[in-house]
Amino acid sequence: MDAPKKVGDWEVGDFINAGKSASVYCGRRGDQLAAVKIFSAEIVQKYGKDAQLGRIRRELSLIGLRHPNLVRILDGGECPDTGLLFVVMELIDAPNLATVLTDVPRDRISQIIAQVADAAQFLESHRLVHRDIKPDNIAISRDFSHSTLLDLGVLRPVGIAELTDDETQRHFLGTLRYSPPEYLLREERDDLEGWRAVTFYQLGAVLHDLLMQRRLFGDIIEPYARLVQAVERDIPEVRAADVPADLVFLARNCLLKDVKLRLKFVSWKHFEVPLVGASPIADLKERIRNRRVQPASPRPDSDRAEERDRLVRQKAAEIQSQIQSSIRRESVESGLFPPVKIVSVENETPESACTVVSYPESMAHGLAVPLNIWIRLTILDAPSTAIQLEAWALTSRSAPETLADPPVQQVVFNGVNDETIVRLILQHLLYVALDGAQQLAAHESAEGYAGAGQWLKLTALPDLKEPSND
Amino acid sequence: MIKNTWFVDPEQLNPEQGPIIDLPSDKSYLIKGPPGSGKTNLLLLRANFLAIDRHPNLRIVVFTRMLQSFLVSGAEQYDFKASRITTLKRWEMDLLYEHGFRAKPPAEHDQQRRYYIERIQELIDAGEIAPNLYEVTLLDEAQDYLPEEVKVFRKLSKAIFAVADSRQKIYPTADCMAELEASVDETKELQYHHRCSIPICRLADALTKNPDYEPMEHTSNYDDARWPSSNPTYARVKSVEEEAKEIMSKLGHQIKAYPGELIGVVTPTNEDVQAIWSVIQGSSLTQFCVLRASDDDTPFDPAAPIWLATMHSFKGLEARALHIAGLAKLSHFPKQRNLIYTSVRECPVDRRK
Repeated sequence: MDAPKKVGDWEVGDFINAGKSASVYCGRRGDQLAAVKIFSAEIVQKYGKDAQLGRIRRELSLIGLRHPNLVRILDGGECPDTGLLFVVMELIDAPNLATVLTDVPRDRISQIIAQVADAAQFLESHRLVHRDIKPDNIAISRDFSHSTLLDLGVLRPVGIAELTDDETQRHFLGTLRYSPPEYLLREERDDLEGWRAVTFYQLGAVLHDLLMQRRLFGDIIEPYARLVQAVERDIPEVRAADVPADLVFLARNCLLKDVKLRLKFVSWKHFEVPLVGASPIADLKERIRNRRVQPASPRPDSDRAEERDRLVRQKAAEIQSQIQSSIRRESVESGLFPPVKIVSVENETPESACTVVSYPESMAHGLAVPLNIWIRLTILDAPSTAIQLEAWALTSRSAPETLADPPVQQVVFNGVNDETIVRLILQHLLYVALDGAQQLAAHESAEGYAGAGQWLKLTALPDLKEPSND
Repeated sequence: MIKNTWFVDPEQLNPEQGPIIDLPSDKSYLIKGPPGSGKTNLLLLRANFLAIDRHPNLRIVVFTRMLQSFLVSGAEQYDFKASRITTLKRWEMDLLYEHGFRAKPPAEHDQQRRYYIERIQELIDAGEIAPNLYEVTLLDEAQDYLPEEVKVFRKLSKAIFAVADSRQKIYPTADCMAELEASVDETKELQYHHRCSIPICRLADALTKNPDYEPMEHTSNYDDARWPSSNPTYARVKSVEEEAKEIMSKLGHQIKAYPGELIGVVTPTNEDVQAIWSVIQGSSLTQFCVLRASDDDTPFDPAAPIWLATMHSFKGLEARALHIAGLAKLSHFPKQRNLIYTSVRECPVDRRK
């Protein structure tokens, strides 16, 4: 397409880049510089001028709205002279993230993702959804300190029907790779939560690319059907030993195929920085750096119930073993606990497995009465190892098996299993329980415990407690 | 004494172990517990306590010559004379000799063992050996004694202090646990243990079929950060010579990885011990390896940390890494399950990788 001299009030200057549907040029109005995006005439003709104008009007609705991490829309419409459709945006002299993925310093990742998420949340507060968050649509300053979410071309208001069906189909051609499965199948719920789930997935995909320094499903280029299959079924491997474990954990939770679980595990606050610094456990970072991560296992082809049960049982046994190992390790290594006994309780269902941790009374450890802690693991989704952990604790001289149901089961963890994160959760749990038992003992005489025992109040780690999305 | 010794000071004892040391010194006790629960250590600390508490006339009886020499090598940590540590056989022979007995015993092991204890019993019955000859007799691996032997110990001592694990019994003799429990004022049970890593516990647990068995894994307090463990490995081999070569390929690394620590190579039969020994002798490992006979009492030498022995004579010892060879032969003897089990549990970590 030959560049016009002028669109609307904007003089058109140097060519910047071109996409499938439009080309971007430098623009000038008086002494104001900008980026001018001019839509190709063929595309406009193919999909209809009204639809395109509708989309441009959506972008223009953002004029006057300002967010530091969102590209500013300045102008746009149909040029009265040339008839061309155009949008004018803030000119940002910075590379896009996709081109510098491998150069991003590791300690900048959490900040970048926080900034992009903040822009997405800003859009949501105006009942808008970007729908095309991906590294190509994020400009990153050369010192990697500032990111800007670009390309509001497929911006959409929440709860208002599509302009045309065509729009979505064309949209997919470009960004299938970064679409969650429910969006691929156009099964997303057209409400704030439904679109938030799409956004979380895309943010998770960007985080994946930053952590892994490659594109999501990057090994799949062709055929197209294979990529569709990957989006629907493949669980991407996310691992990085040189960043806080929370980031890996967050990426895995965001990339969950199951919308409900994604929304259960992820909330806007998880994108805030610093994720780790606020933890009450002082040497958190140190331990996190020593993290070990299990590779994600491929999702089985068979969906038969038997096969699923077998997989669920196998995952439950693996994770239970990991939990017990972490508990034993902390109990023995710290020197702060009496000797530990760890027993698995009969599973009620394939999805759940319960562990009882018992410490005998030991005056040397400041524990005047035996302490029992129950930890119940529930497998929410076996292929992605999405799990929930609930816990309850009791000081009692009676055998743990003889005790009635607990009054309160505290949810202490929700998310994709991550050995490091889960270990932190368990450490926290053990110390809260021991501390609680010691405090009880300090307030009452040992005789006071002789009966049925006392339930302890447990708390979840503040940073990783069950998210609320309000 | 070997580095990284299991011998711990009283202040390091866990809340189960601590109160056992200073139980009343004139009473008799049986302490039961899993391997690695500190039984032998408690036995020695109890002996220290008794020696300080004016009961110097004590005897510590252990089962094998090898363990006796091993314990004697730690004498500087004891408040009693190391000569108080003896084996059953040595103790019996000395006692009989002191009482003028000179006859030649039967050569066969079990017959000899019965012969000795019967002669002592006769001397006691005849009033030639005074009862309460000792203030306290401390018995290690007490589950392996004959009921008659327990009776004799009890008669000759004002009090006994026995440590036992009924699950670790390796000699196909009559069960003496009932006799032991009847001989003491109180039986105490230990449940926590610190020596066997989880993979080793699991292996031992898998070898046990008894429904009343409390799995080792539940009460393991093994410090994996301090002594990182690895999973046991299994190799299927055609001959004992091939097996020896397989083992030797690991030994070279292990003597470097665990300097100054005991590494065990055990087999069920003396024949296999000899076969492996001849293979090792032709190799560069020969200088690091010692062939241990069951009555051998040479102390541990860090320069030759690999001990080759039968499972029986190795019993009670603790190795940083253990190789078990010749197991194919045991498959013909189902009762020997306990023997493998015991060997497995003497080993805190198996580094066969």
